[in-house]
Amino acid sequence: MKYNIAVQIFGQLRMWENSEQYRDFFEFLNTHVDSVDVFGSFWDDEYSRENQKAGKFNFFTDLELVPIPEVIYKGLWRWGYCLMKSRNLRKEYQNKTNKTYDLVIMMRPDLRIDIGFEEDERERCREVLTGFLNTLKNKKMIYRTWLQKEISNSSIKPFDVDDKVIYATEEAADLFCLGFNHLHNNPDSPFHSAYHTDPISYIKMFNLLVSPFNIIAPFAFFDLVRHHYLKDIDLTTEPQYDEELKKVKTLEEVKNIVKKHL
Amino acid sequence: MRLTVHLDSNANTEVKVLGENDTLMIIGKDVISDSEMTNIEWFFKALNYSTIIKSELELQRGSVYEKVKLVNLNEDEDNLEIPTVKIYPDCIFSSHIRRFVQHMDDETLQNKKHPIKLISLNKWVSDSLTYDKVATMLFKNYEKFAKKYPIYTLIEDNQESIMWDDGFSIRPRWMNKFEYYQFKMFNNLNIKCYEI
Repeated sequence: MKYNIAVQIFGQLRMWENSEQYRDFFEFLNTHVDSVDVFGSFWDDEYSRENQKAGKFNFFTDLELVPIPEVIYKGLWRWGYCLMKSRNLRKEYQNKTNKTYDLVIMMRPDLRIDIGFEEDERERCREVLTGFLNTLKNKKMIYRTWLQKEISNSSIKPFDVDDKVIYATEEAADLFCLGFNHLHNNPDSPFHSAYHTDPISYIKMFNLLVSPFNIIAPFAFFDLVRHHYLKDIDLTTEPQYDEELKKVKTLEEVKNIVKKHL
Repeated sequence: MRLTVHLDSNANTEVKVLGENDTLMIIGKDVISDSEMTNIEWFFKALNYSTIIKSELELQRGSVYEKVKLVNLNEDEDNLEIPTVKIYPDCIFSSHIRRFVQHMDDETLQNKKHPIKLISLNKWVSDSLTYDKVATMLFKNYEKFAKKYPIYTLIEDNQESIMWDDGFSIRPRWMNKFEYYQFKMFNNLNIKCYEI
């Protein structure tokens, strides 16, 4: 079967010395599908521009460095803003090329992606991906999103969820990415906004169907590069100085902060 | 603040500020070429493209439009007044309404007594959220899912005849492919149609 996948990588560019993992992930996807188009929308800051100059986005289909707004709110405000810009970048490309997608993957740029490092593990990953893609086509799904973890109702917030990677059918992605305007730029919006809740508000306002990943494979469990490093050295994934770690751009800077606190 | 969207394959794309509370957006042939494209394909692609410009305008303004009107000028004229009353999410209004009933000729087969209403997709008004839901309906899904749905028969059209000549007799027509796709997607997206 013929599959086209679009990947939107968006938000604050960090840990982009890790870009090879993304390239490997897309090559892995490409072995099963007809095309993988990659769209990047990152804040127009020094780190993004340095990486652009160094040719670190040369495997992208299209790239946009987004001017940083004058007023910025907390939580996932910036995440949603950039997500919407990345949607429009993809849609402009689709309009020019007349291309449609079977799956849209929306992901952050600071992830550690494991596509199976051993050959037998890699083989199993291939089988799992093929099974997932076949389900998508056979069941003719529309308006469906897949989240890495289930929606949690146990916190003090009405709900929360993981924001690292979201898979969606094309029409679901088109709507989901517009959620920012209806959550943050609508004075009548009844939806809650807080760290890790915005994606669920986007899903609820458009009546999108949602499933947790039922994919048991390494590539379906994305971790942040900084969290992976902390686990690797046997530290908790959310130390008290996590806010400090969030502000830095490279793994080297993360290591220096951890060293300072140890 | 109100936005009017015109889809017009004879015009060029532009955004005009008409007044303090009104903006006009035209989606035209320069962004959606009409060569090798059916009217329906052009309509869905132009409608879909309007979400890019609309969302960027709303981002710039820092506020969504309260009311958004769509007119497909290739098929209809813009004589629809935007209501002055508040428009709530998931509600869509038009002066052109069609009503369809299930199994018109055999009540014993009916699952639902009351007819369903569909607004004309060529001329309607809604809030911004509902506009985005409708405008995101994709042509690729029209190609995939649209079909004639003879379970439903047109019993009322407030602007056109309901009668159809099928070659053998003249009778009320069935729900067509375009209406079926609209009906299916409005069910998915929880959109309710109302006449104004």
